[in-house]
Amino acid sequence: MSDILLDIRDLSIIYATDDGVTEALNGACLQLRKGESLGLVGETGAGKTTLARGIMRLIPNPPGKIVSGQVFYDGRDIMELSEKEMRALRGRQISMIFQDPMTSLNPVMTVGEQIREVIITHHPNLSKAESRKQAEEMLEMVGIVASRYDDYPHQFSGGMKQRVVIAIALACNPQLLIADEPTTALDVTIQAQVLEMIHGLKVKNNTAMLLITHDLGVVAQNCDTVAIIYAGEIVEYGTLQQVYKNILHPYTEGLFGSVPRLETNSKRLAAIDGMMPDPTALPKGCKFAERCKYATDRCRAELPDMYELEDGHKVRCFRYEKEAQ
Amino acid sequence: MEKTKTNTQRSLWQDAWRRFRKNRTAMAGLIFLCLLVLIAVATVVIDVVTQKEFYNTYVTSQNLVERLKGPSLEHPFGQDEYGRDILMRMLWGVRYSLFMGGIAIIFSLIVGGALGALAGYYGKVIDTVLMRFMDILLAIPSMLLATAIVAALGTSLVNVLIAIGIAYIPTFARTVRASVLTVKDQEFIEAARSIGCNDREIIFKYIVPNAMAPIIVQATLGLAGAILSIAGLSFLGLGIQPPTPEWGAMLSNARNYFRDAWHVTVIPGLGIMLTILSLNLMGDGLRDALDPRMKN
Amino acid sequence: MFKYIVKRLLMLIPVIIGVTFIVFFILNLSPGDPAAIILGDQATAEALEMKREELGLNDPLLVRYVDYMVGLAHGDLGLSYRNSISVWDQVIDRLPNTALLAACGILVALVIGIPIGIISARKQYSLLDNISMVGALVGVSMPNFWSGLLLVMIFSVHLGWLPSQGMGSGFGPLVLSLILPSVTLGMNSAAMVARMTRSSMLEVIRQDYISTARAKGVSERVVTFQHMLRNALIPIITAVGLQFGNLLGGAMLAETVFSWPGLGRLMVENIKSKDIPMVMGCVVVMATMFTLVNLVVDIIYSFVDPRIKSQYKKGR
Repeated sequence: MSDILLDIRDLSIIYATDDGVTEALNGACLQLRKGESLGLVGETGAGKTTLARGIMRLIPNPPGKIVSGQVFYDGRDIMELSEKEMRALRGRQISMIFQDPMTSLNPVMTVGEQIREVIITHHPNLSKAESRKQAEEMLEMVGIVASRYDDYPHQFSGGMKQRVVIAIALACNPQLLIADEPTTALDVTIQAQVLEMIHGLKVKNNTAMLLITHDLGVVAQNCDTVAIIYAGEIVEYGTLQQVYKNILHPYTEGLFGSVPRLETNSKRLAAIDGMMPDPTALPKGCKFAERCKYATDRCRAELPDMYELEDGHKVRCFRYEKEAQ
Repeated sequence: MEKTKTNTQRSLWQDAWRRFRKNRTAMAGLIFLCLLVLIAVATVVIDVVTQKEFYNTYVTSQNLVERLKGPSLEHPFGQDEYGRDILMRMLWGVRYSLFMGGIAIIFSLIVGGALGALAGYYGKVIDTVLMRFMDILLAIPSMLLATAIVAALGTSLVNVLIAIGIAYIPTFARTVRASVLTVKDQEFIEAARSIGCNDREIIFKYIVPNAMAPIIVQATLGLAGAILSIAGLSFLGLGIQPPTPEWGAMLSNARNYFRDAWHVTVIPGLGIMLTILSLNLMGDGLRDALDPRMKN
Repeated sequence: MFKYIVKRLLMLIPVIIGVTFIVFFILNLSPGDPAAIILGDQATAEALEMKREELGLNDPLLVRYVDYMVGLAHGDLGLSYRNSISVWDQVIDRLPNTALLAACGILVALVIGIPIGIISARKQYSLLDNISMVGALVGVSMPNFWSGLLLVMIFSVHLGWLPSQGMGSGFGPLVLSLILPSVTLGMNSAAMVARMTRSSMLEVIRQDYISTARAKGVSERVVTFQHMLRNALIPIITAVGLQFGNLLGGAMLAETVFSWPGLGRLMVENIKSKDIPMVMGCVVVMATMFTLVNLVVDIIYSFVDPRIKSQYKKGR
């Protein structure tokens, strides 16, 4: 078990606003081994970003609050760490790439300084020249010439900015990289480049990655394990093989139904009927029951557990209750 | 969370009102203002009904024996340097702040709003000429401009109104122009034009309602500024003249006596402050209610 | 950058011409006859007519305006109606006093306003935030001529700590005599700046790059000052620039309350005596001051925000 880098147990996060309490994340359990990639897939508003920020303990408070759960990183519970210990972890051990490169760089600082800042924060003994040199190396590594060190973010394109963000995230060789939809805001052509680069750097440093996306194709290319999240709950969790070859949860089924395929000659994509439930008023039972063609009265009244099949494939659906036992 | 709602004008305003009502401080401001309006109207009615007899007996009649006497049961706010009841003078003074400020702001809203809308909607030469002119007016601080106008025209009630009205024109012109510009290029204007609406229809049916929110907020805050300016001018002796019980003029008189009696200074100032405060509270509340995106 | 500043300075000229024209036009609407003001009630009709001719009052408005502008270019603002002294000399004599007071007022506004705004934003919805924001709202709502009187009542009359009137000579007395007027003058602006700083900081706090900064593991102090404040500064600077205009308007009131020998008081006194050239001189100088401050604000922008700076470079 010692190769388990990240172990999230029963993490629950809420947002309390004027409009009511939103249960953004409810009892999430995930594991990630060293060097491994986990894909977290779900719709907008399903709680993906909340989970990522929860691991970093960067939930904006107020209104957000981590209500329960543990996050073990390298055997230590992150939730028990002091703010100072947590800061030592952020950027050094765990890094995060945010969704929108257009807004994730400070507009009034040069890109070089923004990279240097993370280096000098975690290596305070470095001289200015040394840290600058390292930052320039990072720029080169993500494919930007070092001479652009003194340029400001507005002088870069979206893809270039995301490269800078990646350089910041990887500058201290973290063990864990959390990438929150790193390519969603980019042009399709740039998307592939950026993903390829992340993948290359990750392999080079044996960094584990939590890749958040709504794109099943991206997951298939980059991840070893997959978790499907719906309305704040993990509904299906297993290896890439398990989830892609043996779809269990009706929601996952729906997700795959909405991906265009080359081999079948369907005229329309199958969309999932209905909408995700209002997060301030979640149903008592299975969150997906309202949109599920297999739903029974029990589904609406009672929340299914996470059932584990023999091969370790987990699913939150009563249909597999017997099979799991 | 955005809730799906039919996006008609009415529900927009109803929504805004619902949000405004929830804001307790803004409601307090609104209630205080309503109270002031009531007082102002009531005192005007009393003046008309009693043909100023009440005014002459209780508001301006002097009682030099009891000059500068502090608050008592008979005179809760005390008496001024001529022994006049300060409470009565405060009540009779409400109208000057409120109505004069209101008239001045309505004037500048209409003139400034029209100029701003013209500039924003037609653009090009009209825009350049008008806005350069407004920039020049804005280069003169509004209180300074108002003072200069009063200096030229002389100190009278109407001149103060004109001065303040003119001084606030550029602010409104800018606000209206900015919101017209943002609305103008929206696609629904394009759509309206494509179904054959003419300029006038577009301006009044589409642009005005959509530009309303910032204008209302600006008007509320402008009213606060106008009331302050009126009081300030009167304080300098350039506005409304004693013995008219205008609050700024009362303060101006009080300056000579504040070493002997605190209440003659504290009370009129408190009146001005509370009025401005309630307007500011309302303005903040309106801004939050009308533009929920701006709420922090 | 230098070119830009020169260009902006040149652009000031039409603004100042426009301002003087408007002020000149307004003040010449004055119904009073300047000749009668100068010569008094007993003057004969011929004497009045001669005086009018001498002052050039019989010329058309535009001619008089051009004359005035030519004079202004030579540092000549005409003669006072009341005592025939040079307006320029008087105005220049008073200008430093108002500039000093206004600068101290701005200083008060910044020193009080910005820290309060930062703390309030960092501790949003806390008790401290609520108290500060109520205080700021009250501060915005207080007429400064009233708060000035209250300060005098407390600190001069009751406590006897600070002078209530005039401008002290010598460094110590000058500083002492500056305290109450600058606090009076700066208080509204301080409240405004506090509110502006708070909302601007709150705007920035939600930005993604703040999350990026936090995710780097930098301390909250660095996040607050290096990342938040530097970005929040632009609207704050704008607000301060605009506040300077209010401050100059307020200077008339504060100077009157404290008998401060500045331009504002000079102007008020001369309005009462209908000395139009003096009033005109005061307004023109104060408006020019305001315009210059706004220019400085624009230049400061480019140092704070690299996006604006690169626009200049392109423009050049």
